[in-house]
Amino acid sequence: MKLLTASCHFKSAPVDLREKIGFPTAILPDALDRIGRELDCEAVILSTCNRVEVYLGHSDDNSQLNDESITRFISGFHGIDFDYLQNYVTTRQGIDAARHLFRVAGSLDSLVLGEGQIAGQVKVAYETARNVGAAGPVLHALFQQARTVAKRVRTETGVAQGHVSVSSVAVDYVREVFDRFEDKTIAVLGAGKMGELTLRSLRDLSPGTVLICNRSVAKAKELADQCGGEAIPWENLDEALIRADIILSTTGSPDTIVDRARWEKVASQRKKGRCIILDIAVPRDFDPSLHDGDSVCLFNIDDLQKVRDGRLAERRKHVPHAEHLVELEAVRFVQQWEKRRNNTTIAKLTREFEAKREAIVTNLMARLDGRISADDKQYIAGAFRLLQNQFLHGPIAALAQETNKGMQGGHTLLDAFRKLFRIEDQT
Amino acid sequence: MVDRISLTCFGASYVVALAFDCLYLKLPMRLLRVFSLGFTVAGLVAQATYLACRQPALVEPFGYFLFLAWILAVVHLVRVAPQNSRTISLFTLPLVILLVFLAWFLGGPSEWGGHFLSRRNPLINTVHVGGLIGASVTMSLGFIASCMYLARSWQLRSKHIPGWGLKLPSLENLEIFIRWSLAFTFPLMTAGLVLGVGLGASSPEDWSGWTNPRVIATLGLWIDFAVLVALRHGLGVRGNLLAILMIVAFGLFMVCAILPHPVPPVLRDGGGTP
Repeated sequence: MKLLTASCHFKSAPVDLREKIGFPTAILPDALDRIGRELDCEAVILSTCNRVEVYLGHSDDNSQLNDESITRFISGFHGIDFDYLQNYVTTRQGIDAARHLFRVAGSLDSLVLGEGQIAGQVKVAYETARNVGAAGPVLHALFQQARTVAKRVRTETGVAQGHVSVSSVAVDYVREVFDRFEDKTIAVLGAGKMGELTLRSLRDLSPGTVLICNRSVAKAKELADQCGGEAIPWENLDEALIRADIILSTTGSPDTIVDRARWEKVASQRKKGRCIILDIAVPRDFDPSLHDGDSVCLFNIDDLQKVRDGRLAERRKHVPHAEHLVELEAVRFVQQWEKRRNNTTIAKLTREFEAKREAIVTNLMARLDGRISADDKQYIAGAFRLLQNQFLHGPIAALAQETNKGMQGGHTLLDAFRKLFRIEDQT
Repeated sequence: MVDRISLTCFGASYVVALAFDCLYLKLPMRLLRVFSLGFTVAGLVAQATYLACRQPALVEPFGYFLFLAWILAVVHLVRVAPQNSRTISLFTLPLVILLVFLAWFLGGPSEWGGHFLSRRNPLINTVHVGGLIGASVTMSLGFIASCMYLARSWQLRSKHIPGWGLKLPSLENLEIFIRWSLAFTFPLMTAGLVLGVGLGASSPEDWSGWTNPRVIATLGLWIDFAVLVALRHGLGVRGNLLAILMIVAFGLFMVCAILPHPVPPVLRDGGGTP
């Protein structure tokens, strides 16, 4: 088996190069087809905003595939200078290539450690290649294993635990305060970009009412129309505060909008119990002393980012465990592949020996017919079988042992095995 | 075999179940939850067998605490234990263990014990005891919810990382539960107490009077609950205060349960040894 990968990602290459060598969905089938024709191998291309990776495979160990051929293909396909491209492309072979894919699928090589999107992107890349007939048995086995590894990394280690975007952290806090949302009112103060993102996450909770309160009524109406909410003029801000259960504040105001005195006035008119305030504006819109963890839970952008950083730090603690899993799976993949190939060779060898033994024993029995008893015949046939088994046991065990050491060790012995016993390559 | 079941058997079972739940916090393996569930079931069965065989008198703290612990263990098993992600059992099981410990600490069933209920006025007695037991159960559940509420509120006040540490229900859910507990406890307790006073008045020769410490403490408990209900319905009291008052009420309830009953069981049972 020959396995190769060329990788160009956010750590190794600038974004303008990644943009140039990307394989958008529209040209992906053509690229896969050309690789198959030009390099005579299986291929899968993973192209995302953070990485471009080409995986090549061939079941023949003696295939002419090499590091240069893969980089040369990318250079030729996109019309980029080969020498320039070579500086940014990392190539890997054999177990290193398998390990790399498993790290990518397990999100250990992602910009945001443990993000869940990459596993899906790897799956889509493989399915696209399979649909156009570019993926064969080698890459099929590799990508199936990659799915297993991604799942194991996510479930057996903590690298994917907790949300790490500011808006999802905000939603996590909201869920610690409220359980039901159909009777809840969300008030959005301001109409900034960050607010829009957080509101999108909050709307997934299906709140009863969304109020948009902005200095620009037109902007408030626009956002209210987008999210099916109700626009409230800035002068009626207190009304929004009185009605709201969840307040999302994202204004660009240079001063505090709601200080303690104003909140106390509002709180005295509030019919609802508790309120959660997500103050993601800088400078802050709400007086931080309002937070009491009971009737008012106030979280500002620093709080949310601190949670995000804490979760990422926690995820990083699980990286060694995840790397260990990846290593185990990479070795297992190679061993399984080698075993599969060895089994074919061993089966052929055993079949040939069986046939030869049968022929010799049949001749011998014909010659001794009438001179020995049935028991003796059985004993002689058994002795030949034992001789065959004992003779083959040594080489087969040695091959299995060598295969377990990894890809390189198994090759030499298997080749010697084939030559010694004159077995044709059937992988 | 059944005779050999003791408080230590089921008490230890609950302790082991709690230990598995604590371990689950650090090591979230499903197997630990299964072990915890298994030991809770074992403890529950042993306790049920013990109660059925010994039938300790409910007017004594021993029988009362054991019976209450058993009901709470049932609630724990049915409602709490199947929830994998929650750590509610860290609040329910300690209470069950505390009640079993108190029963052991306050001594076993007395010589004249042997019946759950008094034989005099059996119907009124049943309603009296049933009301008080019902109130105790809802109050205990309210106490557990209050402890969880304070823990959750502390988590939010300290702006902990969501999902880390104890995984508790939301503040909203806990407050609803506390209010629900108040709504049930007060009428049940009132009915139980009124019937108790009625029973005492019907046999004035046995009634130790209004100066009995248990009567005074129970009256205090009833007033505390009346205040709680007024706060809950009348004024929009903050959840933290409600939770603290609920915990105080539960403490008062424990004191009431420990204090001697105004009508000694030996007299309530007609002076005979069952």
